[in-house]
Amino acid sequence: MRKLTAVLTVGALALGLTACGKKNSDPGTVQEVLTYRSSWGADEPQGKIIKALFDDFAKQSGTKVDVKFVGRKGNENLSTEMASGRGPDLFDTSTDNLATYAAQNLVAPLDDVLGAEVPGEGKTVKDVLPESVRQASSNDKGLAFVPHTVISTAVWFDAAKHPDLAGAPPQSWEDFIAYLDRAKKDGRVPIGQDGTINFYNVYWFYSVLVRAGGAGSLKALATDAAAWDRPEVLAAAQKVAQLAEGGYFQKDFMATKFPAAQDAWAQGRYDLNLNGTWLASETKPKLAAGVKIASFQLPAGGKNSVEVGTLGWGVNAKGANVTAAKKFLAFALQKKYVEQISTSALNIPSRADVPAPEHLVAVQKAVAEAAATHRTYDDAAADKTWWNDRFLPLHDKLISGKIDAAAFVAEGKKSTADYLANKN
Amino acid sequence: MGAGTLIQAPPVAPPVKARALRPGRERAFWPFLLPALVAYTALFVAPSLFGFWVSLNAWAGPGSEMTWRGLDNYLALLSDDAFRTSFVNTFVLALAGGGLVFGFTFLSMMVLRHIKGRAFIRSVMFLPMIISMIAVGAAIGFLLNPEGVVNTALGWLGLDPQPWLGPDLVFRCIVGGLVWSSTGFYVALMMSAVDSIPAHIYEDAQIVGATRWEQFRHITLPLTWDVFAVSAVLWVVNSLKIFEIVLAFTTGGTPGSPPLQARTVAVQQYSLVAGNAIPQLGNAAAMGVVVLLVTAVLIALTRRITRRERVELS
Repeated sequence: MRKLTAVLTVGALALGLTACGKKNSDPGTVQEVLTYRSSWGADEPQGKIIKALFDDFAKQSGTKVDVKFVGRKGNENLSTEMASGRGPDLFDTSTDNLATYAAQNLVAPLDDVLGAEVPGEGKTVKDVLPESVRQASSNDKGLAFVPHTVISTAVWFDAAKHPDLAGAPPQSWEDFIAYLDRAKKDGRVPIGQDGTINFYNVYWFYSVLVRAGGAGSLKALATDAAAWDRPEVLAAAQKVAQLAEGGYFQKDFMATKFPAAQDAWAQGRYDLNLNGTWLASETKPKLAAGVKIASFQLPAGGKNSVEVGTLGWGVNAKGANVTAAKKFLAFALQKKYVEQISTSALNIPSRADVPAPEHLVAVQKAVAEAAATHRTYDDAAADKTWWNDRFLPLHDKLISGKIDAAAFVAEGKKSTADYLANKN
Repeated sequence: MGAGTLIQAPPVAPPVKARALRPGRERAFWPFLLPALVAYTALFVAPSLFGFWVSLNAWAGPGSEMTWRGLDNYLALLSDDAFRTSFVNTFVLALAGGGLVFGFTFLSMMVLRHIKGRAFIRSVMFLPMIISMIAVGAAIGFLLNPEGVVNTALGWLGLDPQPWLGPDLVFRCIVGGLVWSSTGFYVALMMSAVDSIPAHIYEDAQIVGATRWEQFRHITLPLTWDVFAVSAVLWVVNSLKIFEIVLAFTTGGTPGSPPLQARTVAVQQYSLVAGNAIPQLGNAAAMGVVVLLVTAVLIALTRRITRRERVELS
């Protein structure tokens, strides 16, 4: 009896372990179902749009779909799961994640989808997506994901309260500083800044440098210590230092916990906020009555490059249903679906022939007419260790006035050189 | 002991029978131990050894190739400012936080023993422990923002507002938050030990005129020392894993990285394995091994410092 118990115990344990192993390594059970695990929440406008889209696709194509909305935090281990062959067929991705997924060979190349017809429209995927939008969704192997939304950065203000800005936005850095000085003189706080979020603080240096110098000018700082010696880097740092010294941000902005500053901006307490195109929809519940959101591009001179980033769906290269996933992507780009990105999610749609919501028309126009474009953070955030451990903490010192522009350049150069020397 | 008795069983008994007659405790040894041993080896020992192996490689996770790095991951830690800062922060949290937590705990043990409604006070002190850090994170904004409740209250008192969550003060605020959320747990633990001390001992002390401090020093502390030793080890282990409270005070709710001034090793590890970057499991594992070793040393030290002759009531 005793032996029997022991054998049974060990047996049960062994079975348990085998069962675990089997569950983890056998993708066979999902062969017939197109799986998508969303980084959107089910209650977000995008979540609702995407749910309806998948339902329609399932109905019309006869493909079974398994859609789960896990939110941003639920997909944190997505790349590890996909690398081990366990991830969903379709996943959410964006321009700033291109490099990460490409480095791990996780995304299926989608150039063949470009030639696919968008159902019922007589146009191909390539026809409906502008060049800069396709470029923001591509890596060196071609199209890496199919975008539904365009994101960009701009200076946001209330046109109802500041018709002067709406009529004649600042055309040069000097104009911009002159406006800040006027606002300050009139007793207003010119800029609201959620200073505890370092990747929002860095919008200033990044925008000034890359809008003037064009694509690659920030990225170079991450890959080559000598790039820090270029005069335009010092010039951009001096402009940020000028903002810090001028006292244009709200008092103690470095201690303001997100989203207090953008909420106060929405309430009309600060004139300007430099932020992404999602700002208006993110602050919608807080907007004061009668606010008319508008934007202008931060004037930095030079190439006047405009940021173009995209959000969309990538196909897991190791997924079980690559063909069905690609079919879904052409289906999803139908005008009636992409329109909802504008009307429900209040974002700029990826198709140029679908108008953006009113407050984003200026950005959509800037993107369409830009002579030069660059991608989100100029791809400099691709090396997250450099970005999070070296660059952002250093920029925080600059924008908070702890160091001057010359020290920023010197420290940046040294820190980057050290980092590159010790990198894997 | 039982086996000794059996060995002296009548010589006529055949050896087989002697085996069958082994006492229950000995017979049950392997069947009872084995499942735990298998589970422990499979779920803890093997993954730990694997983690050590990973720390000697560069690896992005299952499905990607592992490249041998030898001790390079450890050497890289030495030259990494972000890791050094997070490492120092972790120990400052463990030591300064520990000093404050046990300072308050001892104070509570002195004061709470004879207060009316002490069970209620104890429950109130324990409450922060069960509030989720997500809720705390949301509340922090209201309280500590430049125009938050705390600065408004300071204004009423005629004091200057402070940039609490700014890079210079945020770490101190985190220490404060940690003390606030953890003290109740240790008070609950220690007070249960205090409650088991017979009241007559304190009555005797009062009769001979012992002050409250003397009562604490000569009665309460020696008789609760065992529980304190365990609590101190628990604190060391927990404080080296501090993670979510840092996010709650800094970037909680966004995908951002907390300022260097506030990072702990656990936060640093997290940013290497999650957050849409290529996971750097080798470097993260090296951090884990370093912290494990230091934890072991600290626990040994804590055990040594808190080792006393056990005082028992007759």
